[in-house]
Amino acid sequence: MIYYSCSYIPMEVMLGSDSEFHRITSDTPISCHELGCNLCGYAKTVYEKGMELNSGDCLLIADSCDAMRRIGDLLSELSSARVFILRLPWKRDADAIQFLSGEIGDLTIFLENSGVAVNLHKGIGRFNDLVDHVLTNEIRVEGADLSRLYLSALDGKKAEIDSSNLVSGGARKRVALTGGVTDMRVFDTAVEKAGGITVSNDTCLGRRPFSSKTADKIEPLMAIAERLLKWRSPCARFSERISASDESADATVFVVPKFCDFFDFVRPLDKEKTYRVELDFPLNSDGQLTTRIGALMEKNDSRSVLHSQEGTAVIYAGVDSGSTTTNGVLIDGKGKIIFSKTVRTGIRASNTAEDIMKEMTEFSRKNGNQIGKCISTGYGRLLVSSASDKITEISCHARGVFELFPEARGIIDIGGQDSKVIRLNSEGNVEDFAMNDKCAAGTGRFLEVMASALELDTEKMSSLAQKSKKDISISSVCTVFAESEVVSLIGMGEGIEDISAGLFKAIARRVGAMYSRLGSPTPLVFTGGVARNAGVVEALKMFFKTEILIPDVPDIMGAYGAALFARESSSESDIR
Amino acid sequence: MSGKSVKFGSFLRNYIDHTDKFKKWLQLGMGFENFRRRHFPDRDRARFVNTVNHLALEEVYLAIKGSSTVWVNLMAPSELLLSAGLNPVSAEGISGALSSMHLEDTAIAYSSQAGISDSLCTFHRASLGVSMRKLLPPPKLVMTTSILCDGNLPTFKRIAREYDVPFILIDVPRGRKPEAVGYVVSQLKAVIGTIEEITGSAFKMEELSMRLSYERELMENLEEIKSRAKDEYLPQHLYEHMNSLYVLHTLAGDSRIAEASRSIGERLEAIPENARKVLWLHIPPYYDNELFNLFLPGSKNLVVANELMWDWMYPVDPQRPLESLAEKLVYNPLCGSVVDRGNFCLNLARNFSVDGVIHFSHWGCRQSAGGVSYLKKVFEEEDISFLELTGDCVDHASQGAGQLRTRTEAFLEIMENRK
Ligand code: SF4
Ligand code: SF4
Repeated sequence: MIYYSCSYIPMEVMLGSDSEFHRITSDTPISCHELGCNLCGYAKTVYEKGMELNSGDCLLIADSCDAMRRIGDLLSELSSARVFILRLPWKRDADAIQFLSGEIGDLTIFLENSGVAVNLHKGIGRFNDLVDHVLTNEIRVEGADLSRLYLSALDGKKAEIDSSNLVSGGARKRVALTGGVTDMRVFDTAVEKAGGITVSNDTCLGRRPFSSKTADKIEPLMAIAERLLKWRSPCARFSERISASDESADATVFVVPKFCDFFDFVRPLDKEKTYRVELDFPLNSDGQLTTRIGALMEKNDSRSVLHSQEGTAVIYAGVDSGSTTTNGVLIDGKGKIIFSKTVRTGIRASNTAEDIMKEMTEFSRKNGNQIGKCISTGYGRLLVSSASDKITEISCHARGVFELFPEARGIIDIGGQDSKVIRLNSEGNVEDFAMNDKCAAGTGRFLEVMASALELDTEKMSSLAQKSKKDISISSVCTVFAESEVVSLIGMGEGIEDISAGLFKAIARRVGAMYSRLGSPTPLVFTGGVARNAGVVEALKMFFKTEILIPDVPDIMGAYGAALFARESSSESDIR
Repeated sequence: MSGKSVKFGSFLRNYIDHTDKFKKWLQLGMGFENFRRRHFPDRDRARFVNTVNHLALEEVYLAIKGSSTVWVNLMAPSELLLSAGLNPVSAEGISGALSSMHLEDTAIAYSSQAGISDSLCTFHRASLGVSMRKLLPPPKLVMTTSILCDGNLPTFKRIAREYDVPFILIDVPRGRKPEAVGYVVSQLKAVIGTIEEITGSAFKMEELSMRLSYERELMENLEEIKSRAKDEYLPQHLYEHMNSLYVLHTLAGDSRIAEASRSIGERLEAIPENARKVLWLHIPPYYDNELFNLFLPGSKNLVVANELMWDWMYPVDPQRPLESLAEKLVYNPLCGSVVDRGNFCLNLARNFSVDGVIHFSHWGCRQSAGGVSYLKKVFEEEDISFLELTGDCVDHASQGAGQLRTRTEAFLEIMENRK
């Protein structure tokens, strides 16, 4: 069997043989640690797979990037398989094509020496046929079927298209996908959970390898090299800009693989409907992704604010099921909060949310009220079965904040595991947002870990930080680094108050950088549990040199927003 | 050196929001230091070391003044630029200079606000920040090779765009294959065309040949260090190692360092008895740090060689200037596989008969860190102690100072026990 790692491995060559071949992909998390934490997950996947192969296998790697190059080097030494590394030029001119055709020639010789005969003309014919199949069918299918079409084509096979699955249209939001290597299975699921469907895919594992056919008139090696460099849609290693989103889609997700130097530089052109997400490969959690995609789909929806009649006994509920805490809010017909509660989510998010719902139902009964409608939000919003609608916390936060502070144009929300920043327009609609990509750095969790390293609680930390005299700077890279740094600072005899102040500054820097990307809109509102921490508030004020507005109960903004949405979207018939 | 620059940096920080004033003070301070290093070299140090220290600074100073500078990466064939009267400065060196003043954070924050990911190497992030913030005047040109690392291409392209100046990429395929030489030669010819356009005068091949003969002489002189390395070494601080690896790439064709290398044999010193000799792989941190004090010249712990000072040494041939420049690029050991790198480093370790090897894995650098597991194996098979230090060469906030010290000291103890 031939295994290969990159869409720059010329498929014509493999199709020109009778051997089966397989593009390396994976949906199980990688366990290898030898490679350090610095390489992209796809490269690690290839390494892991390469180490499992045996002497009858061939492994083809394109040196598309430093990560692949190193993986290729290591596997040439360590794998039992026969390994070939295709040197890929960086340019796309005539000299580069000439060079690449030489490399492809070496590849055919390598395969022939491994006992795999190659007929290039046959290979080109079969490849072009496959391209036809992909291009005709990709417009007919969506979601998981679309992924199946591409993934089988990557193995040189034509997926059967079941006519019962043809494009259905319907109410689901249409999401386009572009960017680098992506774990398709998890991605499709996340989109579907968010209420959408993937309608196009222009990534390495999608249409990009099939975007053009190979000329079969000229010398075959040159023709293949020319297709790869000149005619197919280029990978980010060649261009800083990728031409942009699918017009027909409601939203485009641009995936930047974590630890990839190229895709990071690409700025999709159509900003309105496009959202950059940094993702690992394979993805081991899809909850956050679902939220982000959901928020992106909601971003361009404007919402009108209704005003209900006075004196009605109907009230509205919002439940925010976050990763650390779950919040419930009840509002009356005028939007006034009549009940709110925050509890720890624990390990059974759905139970916790339903418990809060039950408590709120009882509360309203006791007071002679009736819950008209309930909307859930937050990380676990899909688990709240008694909610009639689910809206992302991005939109809900924005809604809640706008109600209290109509002048607000920016929001920083720091929760337990997530931090997010939002920009609002004068109607209170979300114009843009960003979420922390990598890890717990700059979240409530970060604070807790640091506080425990200092053997304090977070409140004590902030009161101590006020006494700080010395400027200590702490790594903004990650929780793990910061923790060992704190330990060594203690060891060096630095004062706890200075270290605490340093930590708050680190959080402010981290979240501040994200906020600056949105253009630092003011007035700024700070929400989420961490907003109760005076140390972080102080540090943010210093960072932005501006006043910061904080709601009385900053934790419940998401749930409050959800309740407001429930009120606005209610009609008489919702009342139960 | 570093204490002073940190002080100067904290003075400059007052003007960080006033770019014009900032630039004025920076130029003044660097101009002063440049004058000092040039006219009042340190008498206790070897002439070669003083020259290197001076040139490393002068390069950045010229960039601050905006004197016909070209921003390059460490592996760019800067001989072409020197021959045309242009001043190469490596963008990594600009980041390093900021870092030595503890000012890198503002540049890094700037690129991060522009959406550049935190996983990109800080050499690149800091230089991007400088260009985005226009902390330095525009260069005439930006030029990079596809070696050493991936970050070069997008970073330099972006820098050129920020300054709106021409961008040159020299694509050097990996694998050290003879077939690649012709591909590179034809690109070097195109580079010469661009240089002619920019300078408005014809490129003089004789000038290039002359540069290459300086370089060849420099190389031959430096070989002396290697040939005597059993009992003698050139005393250098860790930051001076950094200066030399830097200058030997970007100014290899400068007559001043060829000249300074002539007397190098006179300044070699006897290796103290019981000294632990270390080979440094990749780059040490640029900012003042604990490691500087652990490896003082004359002490028991000596860094006797560093990888990136020797990789660039290639016997260029003034008779065949373009071909031999292309070969120098293609056959660079770091342009090969991790096995090539391993062989090269192992040879260095043998030449300098070192007791241990330290690999500094710089955050975000995939090409160097990606091969560490293999290098470790290679050295351990030879019974040479190997330590991987992880940290950041530029961002002093990510150094993990205490850890660096503890781990290095433990390593030195292990080396001691093995002797
Ligand atoms: S995603 Fe980027 S880093 Fe990963 S294999 Fe592809 S090009 Fe390399
Ligand atoms: S440290 Fe590594 S990634 Fe950074 S510039 Fe140097 S070689 Fe490139």
